[in-house]
This record gives sequence, structure tokens and C-alpha cells, in this order.
Amino acid sequence: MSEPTRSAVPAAEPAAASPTARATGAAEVRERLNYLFRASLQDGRLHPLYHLIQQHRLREPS
Amino acid sequence: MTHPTLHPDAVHAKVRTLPALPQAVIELRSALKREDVAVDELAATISHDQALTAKTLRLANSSFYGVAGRVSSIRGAINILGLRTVATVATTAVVISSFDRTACAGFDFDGFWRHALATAFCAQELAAATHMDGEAAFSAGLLHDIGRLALATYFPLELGQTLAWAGEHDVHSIEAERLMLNTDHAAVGGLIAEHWNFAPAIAEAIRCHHEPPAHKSATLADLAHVADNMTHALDLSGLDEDMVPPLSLAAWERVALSPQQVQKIFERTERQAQSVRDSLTV
Repeated sequence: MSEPTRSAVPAAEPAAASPTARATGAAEVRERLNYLFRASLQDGRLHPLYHLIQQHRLREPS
Repeated sequence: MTHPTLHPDAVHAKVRTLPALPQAVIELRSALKREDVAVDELAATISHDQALTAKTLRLANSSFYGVAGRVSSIRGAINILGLRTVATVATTAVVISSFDRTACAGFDFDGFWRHALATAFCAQELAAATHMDGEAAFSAGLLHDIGRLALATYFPLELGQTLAWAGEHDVHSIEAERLMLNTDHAAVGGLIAEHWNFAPAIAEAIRCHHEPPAHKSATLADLAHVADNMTHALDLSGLDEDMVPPLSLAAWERVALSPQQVQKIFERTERQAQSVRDSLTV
């Protein structure tokens, strides 16, 4: 049988292992988000939640 | 490559072996549809099931409900939390204990429940923002991946191989399931929802949470779909290899949230998921 293929973009190593040890710096946040959203990024689509999550992550805790 | 394929009859046969929901939970859920609920009688029915009572009280006393240590009886739980919340809590407790933890390579039971709970809270928040039924949304969110749990429990070898293949090719697990198992966890979850006689809207939300059907306004399936996406994006399962699935733009537009609503939902979902998950250790 044929196997589905995805364009060979190497997946980044995850920056944060758990919600309790979450990335806080902008670069770390971007790296982890790029990993979590890798399916849509590899397909060339911008996921509607990407920037909303990024904004949430980089906001000062209230 | 050789791969396992599940025959639909084998899946159906396993689903039929799932225990029925306890009578107390069935009565509790039916009582929500009536106006003349005899609360004392209902509380007595639940209290006769000691295992269910213990599980329900443990969850009701979690910090999430803000009454930690104050709920010592089912009657008290109904008084303090309300019938609808107790029904949800009892159903949650029963569902969690219905599946044994079998060894399935690549399947993390704790991560599964962290994601399920976070999705339940997120769906409930989405329901509040869109004026939909919060308890139904909670149930749909909690149970949306129940088919994955069933596959891990009843077909651990097959799912393990599928997850390994998905990891090797870095594709979402549902793609690998469809290719290798000839079914997927959403379809299996739909069968379980029918087996347990869940409301049609909840069954549809489970069956269609990856591809919600077109509709004029937001549906429970839309809420489960968006909540699933949000909790993967919020990284709440704690799994390194997590992946945000594709989002249906039609469903996203039907839910129609403002950026401010989205930020509030993110904050509340994270806070709720953190506060309750330790109480649900299974």
C-alpha cells in the first residue's frame, strides 16, 4: 500500500517538556509553537490559533 | 509494509463488551431531563453504589469546584454543586474507571486524561462564550477521544504499531489510524457513545470532532473540535510529541470568538486543567 508522505521538513526538538515547565522566552515559545503546529506549517498553512497562542504565551501573567 | 487492520466486526464486538453505565448514573442523567426530580431518592440511589460515591466525592472535593473538603455525601454534593454538575462528575468518574490501563506502546494514559480534561474545560468555556449547554460541552470534550482509549485498551498491539508509524512519519495519529487500522478513533468513539446511549449531539461531537459537519450555527461538534485544537495548542497534555491537528475554518467561524474571548478561554482552561487534574489520578 502507498504511505502518505509529508514534505521533509525536519521537526524541531521540543523546547518545553510539560505545561509546568513551559517556555517563557520569545525564542523558546516560537520554537515550541513551531513544533506543535508543525503539521500546518509543513503544509504551508498558517493555523488560525498560532498567533493567538503566541500572544497568550508572551503576555505577562495577570 | 505489513500492518494490522481492524475488522469492523472486531471493533463492534469489543465495544459491546464495555460494561453498561451503572444504573445510578443512568438515573442521574435521565433525571436531568425531568422537572419533577426527587433529589433525595436520586441521592439514595447513587449512595448505594459505594465505588461510584467514593469517586464522585473525591472529584467533587477537588479544588476546581471551590468546595474542597466540604462535600461529604451525595446529597451534600447535589446541594452545593447542583444536580447537573454532580451528574457530570459521576459520569466522568465512571468513564475513567471503565478502561483498564493495559500496556500499549506509545500510548500515555496520564497524558490522555490530561488532554481529555483540558478539552472538557475548554469546551465548557466555549459553551459559555457562545451561550450553549456547558454540561453537554463538558461531556463532549471529556469523551471526544474515548475511541483512542478503547483502541489502546482493546487493541494495544495494533494501536501501538500505528502510533509508532505515526511517529516515524511525523503525521497526526488519525491519519495513521485510517491508513493502518481501516478505522479511526473518532469512529470508534461514536460507537461507544451509541453503546452508552449518550445524547445524539454528544455522540455526533465525538464521531465528528476532527471534521465537524456543515451547519448554520455552532454545534457541539464545533465546540469539541475547537476545544481539541486549543488544548493541543496550549500544550496541556504534557506530551513532548504533541501536534495541533488541522482546524476547520468553517467551524472556527461558526464559533465566532473575539480575540479577547479567546485569551480569556486560554487563561481559564489552563487554570482549570491545572487545578483538577491531580484529583483525577486513575
